[in-house]
Amino acid sequence: MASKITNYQCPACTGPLHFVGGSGKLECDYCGSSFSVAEIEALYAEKEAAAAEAAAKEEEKAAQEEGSWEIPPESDWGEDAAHMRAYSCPSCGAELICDETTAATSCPYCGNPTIVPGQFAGALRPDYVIPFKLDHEAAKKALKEHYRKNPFLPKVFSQANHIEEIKGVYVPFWLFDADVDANATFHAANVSSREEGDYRVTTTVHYNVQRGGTVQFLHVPADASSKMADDYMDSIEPFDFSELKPFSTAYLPGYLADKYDVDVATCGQRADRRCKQTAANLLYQDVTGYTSVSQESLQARIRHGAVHYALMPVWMLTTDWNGKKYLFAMNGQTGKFVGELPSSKARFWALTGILTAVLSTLIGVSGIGWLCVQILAALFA
Amino acid sequence: MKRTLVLLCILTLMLGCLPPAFAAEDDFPYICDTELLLTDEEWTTLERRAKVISEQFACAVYFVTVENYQDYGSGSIYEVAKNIYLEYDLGWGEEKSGVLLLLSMYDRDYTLIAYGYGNTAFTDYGKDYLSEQFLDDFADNDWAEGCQDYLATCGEMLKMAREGNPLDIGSRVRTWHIVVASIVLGFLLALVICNAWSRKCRKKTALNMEASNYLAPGGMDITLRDDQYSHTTQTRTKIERSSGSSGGTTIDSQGFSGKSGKF
Repeated sequence: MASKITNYQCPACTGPLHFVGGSGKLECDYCGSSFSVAEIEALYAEKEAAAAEAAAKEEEKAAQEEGSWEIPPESDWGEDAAHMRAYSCPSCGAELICDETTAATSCPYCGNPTIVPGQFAGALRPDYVIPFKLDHEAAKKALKEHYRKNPFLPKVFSQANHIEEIKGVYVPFWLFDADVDANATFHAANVSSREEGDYRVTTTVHYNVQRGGTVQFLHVPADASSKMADDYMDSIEPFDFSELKPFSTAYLPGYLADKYDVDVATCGQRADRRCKQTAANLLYQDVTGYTSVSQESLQARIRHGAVHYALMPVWMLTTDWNGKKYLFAMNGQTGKFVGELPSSKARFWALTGILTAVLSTLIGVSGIGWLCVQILAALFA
Repeated sequence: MKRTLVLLCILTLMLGCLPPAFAAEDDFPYICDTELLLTDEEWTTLERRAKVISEQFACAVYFVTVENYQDYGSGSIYEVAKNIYLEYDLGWGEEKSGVLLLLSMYDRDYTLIAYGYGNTAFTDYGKDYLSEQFLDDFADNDWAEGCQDYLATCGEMLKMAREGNPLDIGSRVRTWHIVVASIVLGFLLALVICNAWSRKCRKKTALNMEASNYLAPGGMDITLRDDQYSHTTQTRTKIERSSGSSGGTTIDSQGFSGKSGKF
């Protein structure tokens, strides 16, 4: 019961087309032809509409037919079957089994990039996309740089581990516009000190401070895919939203893409918290001229604005070492790279030893060591 | 012999006048035990030892016990000890160098005074250190052991002083002390630096609680700024002035230095 999917083929040689971030065009691997997104969009508009319509019909038909099959109670797929979709590769005819949220992938048999137009049809169509600017090689280079910058990394890790998987993913995000009306009260103080005979007199002048105002936010992002770890997606921020493009599936070939599976309400709560916290911080930063400031109360009211659905470019890399998987993420637009690395205790102590030798010599030569001994002698005398 | 000298000591101390012959270095015993706290044998041994130390380092080391220092003059025990030292012309050589420990048994008072080269060898810090060596013995009424510790420590301190390094604050600092201190300090600093460095390198991912990157241009409009004076508070704290002791010996107008206390 394969659904219809499309792949972008070169108008010149029918080879598969990939979107290349560097040129911003779709390029053919076989004949080298390149086409702008607008050209391919125009060429495939009708084809995509037909594919989406066919997919809808297939689903309707499948729903009607489902009642006639007797599904064994202990099916191999179990409940997962409800979340899977089957497609037929237009290039080689192989059947692709994908997650229900998959919107763009590649055929494991012929390697051709494929798009599931129905996933982005109608209300599910994203408003914007930030196309990939950095390619596969840039991601690998960034991983090596990530290794190089960490002197505590076990040497065998960078030598023995291999990149198990590297994939460019268009991750669905909700982008929230919001205004925050905030009002905060602070206790501020100026502290001065002077000596009067044998006494130190400390004078503290206390103030009640109030700040209020409106803070406007545009496109506060929240990851709308349950498959992506929120902390990874938050850590590769920020994205440069001046490069947002109106969505087109022509940006997707060559990458994976998912449609959202976390709704606006859930993501909106995270965005609200971020906006409120930022407004509070900005009001705090406005209280200047005091030696100490502490917030006493905060009232923040959010006025929700527009919500946009957008796809963001993310490179996900997985490496395997000592039976443990290490996951890294890179912002496909800015190159910001995150991911935890293992730490070698031997390297830590070796570096501590080297640093101890250098610092001890400096301390000894500079006379700080002698000074310390004198202070200790006086303290214990 | 001890009994004879003790009787002579008591007599001369009580009379407050000293025959010229008695005032001589050779005549006044180094261990003047008028309270008979030591046995004959102990006295003989300690006297011999005190003499050896005094001769070796040209600085007389005296140990005197009395029933009540007030019987020997007015003022504090320190003043009485100074008077005894001066009146009986104690000390070694022209400088009259020496150190004297006087125990007064009535109220268990003691004083330790130094004169001449004794001021150089027995600094304020040195006197504290010396007192620590014998006070615990005297507190336990272990007079011979206390006196022995007193003499032994005097010998060590005089030796250090003659070597040009009298016991004082910081005087016992040796090169290896500085090396060890430098290594320990270097290690602690290296540990702190490497720990912070390692944490930074791990680059843990975290949820972002901020959205300042997504502020609209000119999107912050502060409409209320109100700063009201509330009140003023004042605290007075006594300044603890450190003694600022940098070592050395505090010498009074008569050329003595000393410390007193109870045992």
